[in-house]
Parts: sequence; C-alpha cells; structure tokens
Amino acid sequence: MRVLRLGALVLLPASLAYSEAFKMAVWSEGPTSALAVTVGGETAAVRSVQTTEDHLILLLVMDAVKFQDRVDAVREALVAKLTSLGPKHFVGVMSAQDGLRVVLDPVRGRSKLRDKLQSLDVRGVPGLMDVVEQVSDIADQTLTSAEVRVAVLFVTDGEIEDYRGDYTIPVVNPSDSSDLSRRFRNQLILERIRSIVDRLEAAQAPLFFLHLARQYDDLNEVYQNGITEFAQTTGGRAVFARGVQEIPAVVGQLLDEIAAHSVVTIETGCEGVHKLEVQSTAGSVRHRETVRCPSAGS
Amino acid sequence: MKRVAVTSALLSVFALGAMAAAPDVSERTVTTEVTNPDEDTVRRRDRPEMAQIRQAVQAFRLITGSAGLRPGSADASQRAAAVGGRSSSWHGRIFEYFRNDALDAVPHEVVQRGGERNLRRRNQFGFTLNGPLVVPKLYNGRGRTFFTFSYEGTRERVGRSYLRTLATEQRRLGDFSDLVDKAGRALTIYDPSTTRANPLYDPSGRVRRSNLQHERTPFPNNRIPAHRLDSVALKATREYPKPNTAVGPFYRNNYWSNPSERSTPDGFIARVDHNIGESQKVTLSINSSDGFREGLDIYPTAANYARPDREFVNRRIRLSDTVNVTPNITYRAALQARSEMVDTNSSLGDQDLPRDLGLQGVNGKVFPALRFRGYTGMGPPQRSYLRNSLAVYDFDNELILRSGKHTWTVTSTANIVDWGTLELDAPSGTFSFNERLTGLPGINNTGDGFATFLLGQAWRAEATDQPHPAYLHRKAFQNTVGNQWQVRPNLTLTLRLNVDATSPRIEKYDRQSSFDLSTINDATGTAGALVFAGRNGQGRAFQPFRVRAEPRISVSWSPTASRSTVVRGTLLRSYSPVSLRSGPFATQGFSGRRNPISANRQLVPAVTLADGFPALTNPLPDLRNDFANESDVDMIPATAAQPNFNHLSLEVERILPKGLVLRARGRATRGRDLLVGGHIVSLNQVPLSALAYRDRLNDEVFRRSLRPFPHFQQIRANYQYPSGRLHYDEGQITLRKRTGDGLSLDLDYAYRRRKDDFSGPGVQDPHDRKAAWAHSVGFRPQRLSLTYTYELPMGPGKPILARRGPLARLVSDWTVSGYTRWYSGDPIVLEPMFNNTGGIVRFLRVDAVAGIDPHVPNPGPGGWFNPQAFVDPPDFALGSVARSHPTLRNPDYRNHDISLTKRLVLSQEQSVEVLVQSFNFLNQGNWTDPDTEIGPANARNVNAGRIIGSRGGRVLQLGLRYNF
Repeated sequence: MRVLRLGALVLLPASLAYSEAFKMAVWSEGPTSALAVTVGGETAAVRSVQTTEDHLILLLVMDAVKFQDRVDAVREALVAKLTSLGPKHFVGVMSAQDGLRVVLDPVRGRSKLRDKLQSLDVRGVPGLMDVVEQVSDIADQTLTSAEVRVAVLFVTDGEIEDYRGDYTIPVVNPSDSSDLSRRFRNQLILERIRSIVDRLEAAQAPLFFLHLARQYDDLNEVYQNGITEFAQTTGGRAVFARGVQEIPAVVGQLLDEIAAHSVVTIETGCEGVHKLEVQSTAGSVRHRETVRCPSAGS
Repeated sequence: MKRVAVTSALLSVFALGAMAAAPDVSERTVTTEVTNPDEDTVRRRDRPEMAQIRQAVQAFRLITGSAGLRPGSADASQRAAAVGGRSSSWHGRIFEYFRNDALDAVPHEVVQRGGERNLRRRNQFGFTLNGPLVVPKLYNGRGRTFFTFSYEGTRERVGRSYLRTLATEQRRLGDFSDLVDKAGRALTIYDPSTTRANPLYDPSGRVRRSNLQHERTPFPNNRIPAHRLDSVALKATREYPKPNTAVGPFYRNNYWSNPSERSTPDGFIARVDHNIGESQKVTLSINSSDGFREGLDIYPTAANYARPDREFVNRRIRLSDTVNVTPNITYRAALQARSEMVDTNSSLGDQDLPRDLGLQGVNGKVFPALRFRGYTGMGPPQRSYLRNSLAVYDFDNELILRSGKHTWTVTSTANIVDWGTLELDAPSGTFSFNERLTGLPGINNTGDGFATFLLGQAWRAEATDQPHPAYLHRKAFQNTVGNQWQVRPNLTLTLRLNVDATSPRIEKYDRQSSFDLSTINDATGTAGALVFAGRNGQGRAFQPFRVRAEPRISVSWSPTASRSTVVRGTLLRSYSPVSLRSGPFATQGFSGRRNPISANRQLVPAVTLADGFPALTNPLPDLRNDFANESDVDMIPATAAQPNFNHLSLEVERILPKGLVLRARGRATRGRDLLVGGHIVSLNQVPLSALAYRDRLNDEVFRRSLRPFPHFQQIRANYQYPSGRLHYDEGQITLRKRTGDGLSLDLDYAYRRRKDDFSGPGVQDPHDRKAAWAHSVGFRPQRLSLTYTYELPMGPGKPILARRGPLARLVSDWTVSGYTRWYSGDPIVLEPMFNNTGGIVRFLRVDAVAGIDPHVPNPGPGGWFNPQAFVDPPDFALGSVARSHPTLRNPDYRNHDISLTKRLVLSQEQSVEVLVQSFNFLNQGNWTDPDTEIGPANARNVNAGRIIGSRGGRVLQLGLRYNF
C-alpha cells in the first residue's frame, strides 16, 4: 500500500488543495435530490450525486484457489447479467492470489471480459485479506478521479487455512498438553479483521464479496464474519454460496444491487470515526453506518 | 481523504494528455450508445459523461501502473515489490502468555481437601515471521518465494490433585483391627496357612458360612504376626506413603497429593512457498518439536504410582507441488514424512529397585507394580515404560479435470507406516493381591487385599520380557474417483468411489507370532497353537491383503429461487483403517509374558513375593508352538470381517430475517464388525452355563477343562477383533446470528443417541452379544454450546463514548469472546462389590430390586441415585441390570470460557494486543461421578450413589501480542 501511494505521488507530483469531500454509496427508493446527510449528528452538505444513470466501473477481483467449476459458474453468470444490465457498466478485472495484479482494464465489451475470466487460473494462495485495503484504495482513487460510480466485487473461495499468513495458530508443540492459548483460536483472524476494518472506515467505494464456498467451522465462521464486516463498513454486502447451484442467482442479486447504487458526495468538517445518517423524504435509504472523516493534515 | 482529493485533482490535470497517448481506452468504447455490448469499436461521437468514464478508466490505469500492478507497466523490481500488498513485506507477531496460580481460583478439589493453592507457573512465548524470501545480494524472492517461520516454547510447572486410598499406618504393620467393610462392619482376616478341608462339608449344598468347603483360622485379634510378614512386602511397605487426610468413609480416601509436573516443550514450523511461473507452486514445510514432561510424584518415594519422565520428539516434512496444466486441468502432488517418538528410558536410572527389595526373577530395575484390591497400589501404572517411534510416509496425487457440468477428481494415495515399539507393561513384574487368600474361601466380604499383600501372596502375577523392539510395518493405497455433476442449475450431485487396499502388518525381522485355532499344539496334541511369521509355511503376515470399496453419494439442492434454503444429503459406506497397535502384542516367542497361574485362587497364591518370579523355561527367542501354553496368548484375527460404517445425513439450512441462519441436521450411522478387544469376544471363555458348577470353578484344573482351548488362559486380541456393533443417531440444530455492529453468536444443540455392544468394562457372554446391547459407556447424549464474539460498542463511531479523546481511546477496540459448553451426563455403570463366579465372569452386573425407583427427586452429592434399587447378584449369578443403566446418568458438565482483548494501534501495520483470558470464569465446580459400587444386601456400600466432591476452578491467562 505504501508503495502504491508513493508510486501515485511520483507520477503526479504536486499538491493542490485540501478537500473534505467524501463519496459514499447509497441505495435510495426515491429521488436522490431529496437526500439529507448528517455525520456525527452534524449536517453535511451534499455536493453532488451520481445516480444509476451514470456510468459504473465494477472492479472484479478474482481470488479463487480451489473450485474451478464454481468460478466457471460465476463467469457465465457475470457475463450474462452484465449484458442484461446494459452499456453503462464497465468491468475491470484484477487477480488477488499470490499478489494483486491487473488482468483487464475496465471495459464494456463482454467478450473480452469472458475471455479474460476464462484465462484466469484457479490456483495459489488466497489474497483477499492481504489486498483488500489496496484494492479499496485503488477503487477510491478511481472513484474520486471522475464523476462515475465505482464498486468492487471480490470473488473468492479460499478458507482461512489456505492463507500463507499464520492466522489459524497451528499447534507447534503437540506434547504441550496444558496449552490454552489456542482455546480462542480466532484471535489472530479477529486482529487482522479489525486492522482492515479500521482502514476501510475511510474507504469510499463500496466493497462486495461473493464467497463461493461457505464453511461452517469456527475459524472460517470468524473469517466469513470478517468479510461481511468489510462489506458492511463500506456500504457493500457479502454473500456466501453454499453450492455451485446457488451461484447464478447470487451473482444476479449482487449485480442488481451494485447497479442500483448511487454515489453521494458530501462535504464534512469532522475528524475521526462518526455515525453516518442519510435520510430521504421520498422513501427508505440504505447506506453505510459509519465514516472515518479525514483528520487535519492527513 | 485529502490523499484521494489530491490524487483526483492531479488526475484531472493529466488525464486528457494521458488519454491521447493511451491505446484502446475502455476498449476504444468512446461511444455514447453501444447497441451490442460485445462490440469494441468506436461508433459515435462522445457525450460529456463518456469523458468522465474515460477519465476514470485512465485514472485506474495510472494508479495501478504506478503501483506496479500491471504486466509490463513497471520495471520488474518495482512490480515485485508491489505485488501482494502485505505479502511484499515481512509481517509477524511476538507473543507471551502468562499463567500464575496467584491469578487463579483455588480448584474445588483442592479447597475440599483443605489446600490453599494449586501450583501453576507457566510462560508460553514465541514469534512468527512471514513474508517474501530475500537474502541480500543472493536471492530476491519477492513475488515468487515466501516463507513462514514460527517458534514456540513453554516453561511450565503445574500442580495436579489426587485423592487416593492407602493402607492405614496400623494395617501397614499387620494390625487389621481397624478393618471394616464398606458398610462399616468389622471385617475378619484369616490365616491362609491354616487352610484345610472341612470334613463336614456337604457338596450337595451351597458353600456358605455354615457349609464351608475349606476352613481357615482367623488371625488372632485380626493381627498378622510380624514374623509372618513377607520380607519383600515389608521392604516395599517402607516406600508406601502414610495417609494424610480422612475424607472417608471408613479410612477410605485418606491420602491427598498435590504434586507438580514440569513441562518444557520447544518447537518450530517453517514453510517456504515458491511459485514457478504463473501456473505452478511448490511448498516445503518442516515441523519440529521436542518436549519433556517430568513425572508426577504422587508418592514422594520409589514406589511412586505415576508415569515416569517422558521425552517427546515430533518431526514432519512435507513437499507439495500444484500445477495448473490448463484452466481445466489441475494436478497436485505431495510427499510427506512424519515421525513421533515417546521415550521414558531417561527415567530408568541406575538403581536396581527389585534387588533392593529382594525380589528375584524380574528383569527390570524399576519398582514392581504391586496392586491391592481396595487400595491404591505401588509402582508405575501399566505401559509406563516405553519407547515408541512412529514413522509415517505419505505420497498423494490428485488430478482435477473439468468438463462441462462435470468436475472429475482422481486421487491416489500411498501410505507407509513403520512403528518401532518397545512397551513394557511390567518391567519388574505386576503382582495382584485380593482379599480371597485372607478371607474365608467361597465367602464374600471376608479378608483384605493389603493383608494378602503383607503375606506376599499374589493371586495373579505377570512379567514382560521384550528384549527387542517390534518393528511393525504396513502399507496402504487409496484410489478415488469422484464426479461432481451439476444436474440442474439448483441441483448438484456428487458421486465418489474410493478403493482402499491395505497390507496386513508385518515385522521387519519376522519377529511375529499369532495364536492359530487349528494348528496342533506340540505339547497337548490338540488344536490351538502359536504360529510364527515366515516359518513352517506361514507367510510373513497373519492377515490377508485387503481391498475395500467405499462409495459415497451426496446431493446439494436449492429448492427455491431465493436461495434462502439449501438441502444437503449424504449416503456413504466407509471402513476403519487397519490398526498396527503398539507394544509387544503378537510377538510371543520373541518376547515373553510370564503369568503363573494359581491352582485355586481362593486357596493358594500364584506367586509369593519372597520366592520371586519363576524364570522362563527357555531363553528367548523360543519358537516352540506351545511356548504360550498355560498363559494368555495373543491372536491377530484372520477373519474376513472388516470394521465398516454406513452413514446417512440430511441437512437443511435456511436464511431467516434479521441476520439469522438456522441449520437443522439429522445423522444416522450404523457400524458393524468394529474392532474390539479380546475381553469382548472372549474366544476362550468358559460357557456361562458352567456357573452351575459353582465353587468347583475355583479349581484351575477343572475350570480349564471347560475352556475351548484348555491349555491357554485368555486369548488376547488387543482391540483388533472385528465384532463390535454400533448405532449412532443425532439431531442437531444450530442458530447463527450476525449483526453489523460486531456481534456474532452461535447457539448449537445436539441430541445424540449411541448404543453398542462393546463399550465400557466388557460383556458377559460373548455368544450373546445382544444381551450386551446398551447405551455407550462414556458417551454424553446432549450437548449445548454457545459461542460469541462481540466488539464492545465504545469509542469513536460507536454508541458509547463516541467522542475522541484519551478516554475514548482507552475504551475503544475491546473485543469479548466466549465459549459456553454444557454436556449431559453419560450413562451410569453399576458395579457389584463382589464377584464370586469362579473367575469365569469377568464383568458382573448388579440385580435390580423390584419396586424401588433408582431415581431420586433432587439428585445431589448426598445421593445421586438410589442404591437401594440395586443389589449385588447372588454368588455364581450374572446380574440382571443392563451393562450401562438405561436412564441413570452421571452428573452433567459445564464450562464457560471468556476472553477480553484490547487492541492498541501503533501504526497502520503495527498493533499490540493485551489479552485477558479466563477459563471456567464462573469458577464452576463439576461434580465427580457418584460411587457406583453397590454391595450385597447384608453389606451395602454406604457410599454408593454419593458424590465425593467436585473438580475445576477458574484459570486466568494474560497475554501480550505484538503484531507487525
């Protein structure tokens, strides 16, 4: 992440002005013009709104290491659904296993998307926990670069045991019969999740997650809860497929939700993490619950 | 936010210029209307919003390009440094966990004995480091080679608590004037040297006090004269601790010990991943651990009744390779070698304790195992001295092929197990003393086991001679073909067939033998003799090479389009793996087991301590097929039956509103031909109809004449005989709740029923296993668990103390996690106090007393069940109550653990966690099981049905973890 920032600054070496604008995803039943936003109880001015009429860039982050058949199902469902959604939806593809890479720049053409997705290997070590902040950063910078909507969809099938990082606290000394340090084996996962959530509180683009293989053991429950928390922190959603047969429907639901979001740009003068409330006189509104405001000098 | 704004502004400035040079921006879709989204060509003139999307796409390119995330967009080193986010730099943690008894509650069992503390000193420390493998000037593995290294060590000393029954000081000197039975009535000990036939005995009547077959004279004043005490027993008694408490009843539970145990394990796990190109990954992992656990001094003497010091060594190395041949073909291979060793040799020492005691004829140098019925014995428990070294080699291959709606999986596994095992059940002999030799022959509730010991008269003795370890070997091969078929969009069917081929066990030097039912015994000329591996036409193994098919079919179905419900079902058949078993089992002739037999266990001992142990008649190896005559004999069953399970499960999961997920599951398993011990199948059992012979059964010559193989005692199968049957049914319901404010909660309840015909102490009639069908002993039918994690709602952005400041910083980032478990009690196994069946019924049951309810209204330590509802069976009768009681249950078990974690953020990549973990934080005491020994109607165990105390106590662990 540090390298990413440095790289961006090296290429764009200038500092212009401090801005307190913050973009966020909102799902509103009524017209977005009727929105009123408060941050930490203070009214925040709505500077602009990108609606479903505006273009959307979906950054698809593939992180599949196990189930090729499920990835095949995702690919077919994605292409079919995007085709039906129409030409305002651009899709870029990144790969997260063994490090983040760009596979395809955002395009509208579905055949190229299909080809690229087909060429991706289902292999390696899952990278979601390692790259989610970096992807969020890229999405935010893309979002703030123009008047478009940007969302991220992670497609993953990894379990917590698959990670290279030592999240599961494997037993080192089998003869240590009094070891209680592993009674709460979820703590390393929780720590990593907390660390990620801390940083995602400042994220602007909504993150969506499609996990292709729901797991039920204690450690994966914590991991999957964490993924859900990543999504909720940014206003997105996480869905866990319980079998290949669920994937087409799930992909359809997720893409419908992504396509339906608006981006509201507000101006805030706050610092730190605050409760966010968005209200509309024209119907119910769904949005993220908190926001980390920029601190002075950050 | 400022960073994003700055970048955005810069991008705005540079975007137009960059776009001019950028090829194929948005696939050249600088068009306003694209009727066919698959067309990439430019069709119409730009509209203003298209400029925005072009600007955003170009920004994406610039950002990812500057970060080196694009192929060819940055130089190799930059890209390598950027790849992987966190995986581009080293991360890890350093930790310390600390426990001290000053932080703990004193355990209930210690408090109940008047203790004030239970020693606990524990430091557990270590670190983990992972990241790209970089060796300056030699190797830069960023982006392709990664390592993980974890070290952990522990230094611990922890107390254990034991409550035992030892002989009183008075009895140690031969004075049994304080001796009472379990009903509190005075007991008389008799002088075995005065045993004589009763000239008035009427063989047509039952043996009873008024019709004794053999008479004995009581010791005067219930005291054994000093000159009658066995010299070896007398010396051994000096090492027998004196009672130090009086929990009771009647001099029982009179020794409490709270020794500490030291443990010092150290180990590491190292792993290296290397990516070869884009489609191949090689992983090497190495685990190593060395442990030492000091033996407990339950007795602070040479006669310690505890396991000795043990050393543990664990090693593992695994090399795996994954190749994506094409997107539809994946190949994985793994090679693993693993070894485990447990060794007690270091604790043998130089002292020759049997020699010091004056005990002759045993090979070992440790204290002999002396066991007295009714008391805790002296010397090490069974299997205390051993050196077991296990080596396992695995080679796995897996090929995954995808074609249309089918995913095929083909796996093959080769598994080789080598086990070097040296286990001495009784290196210096095991000597068992019961009350019969100091009681009235044929009369229950007379005599005393410790009095018999003082006279040195063991009714049973055993010594093991194993000059060499047994080097056991087994191979297994598994080949599996599986197909996952997406039958319909909402229905997936998975079929799998596994074919398992397993070799029987062989011994490296063919030092194996087994009892064969049909071989003619050289000494007796009858069927039944030892056969030896690789000799006289016998192959190297005693069992066939086995090939077994294990089919499995499973289905996953989403019945509704909303995917709120999923139904899963599985039907499979499986087999248990063939067990090698450790120790000298089935090596007779190469190893020896001397177990001299008493001609009549009521009248004469098998061995007298002062006379020592009879020597083997021939040196080892002794390959006569009658080598094991007159003793227990080992048999590797050659039966074709194999332990197998049929399993059916059905599960429904439904997503409910408000973040709730409900999961209901039913399972049924049927096991047949499960591996059981020789005491269950009892191939050399005297038919139970012989109970009609009553007291004649005590005569060894007569009793052996009734056995199928009269020249042997028991036929031992060491849990390798396939004849067990099991039914297991389970209903489970799980409710999961997730909320967006950091709460996750799982509530799980399971009701399980498990019945079998082999668990627990044993069966009575091997020919009527249906009579043994009962609830599984030790199995708790109900389980309720609650697991929760909650991020406390305090600090910035949270409902409580949301404002920033020192206080908010202090109260933020606290997480509480917990586990709560409840298990219902397992079935109670009722035991008679006396077994007067001539030694042919090893597992006697009690009789039910008609009209008395065994349940009590408010079970508690004073009375958990009503013992008046049961009674010892009459002499030479089996008892009528089931092997495990159908409705009585032992106390349930509860435990509550909680963890509180405070996370202090030092920087984006660094944090410190302070952990406060409390195990059994409610300081719950769980009742120990009630006394289940019943007693005859005229001498009931006054303690039957009562609970002696509770166990458990709160333990606090503090931890500090630095994550970076």
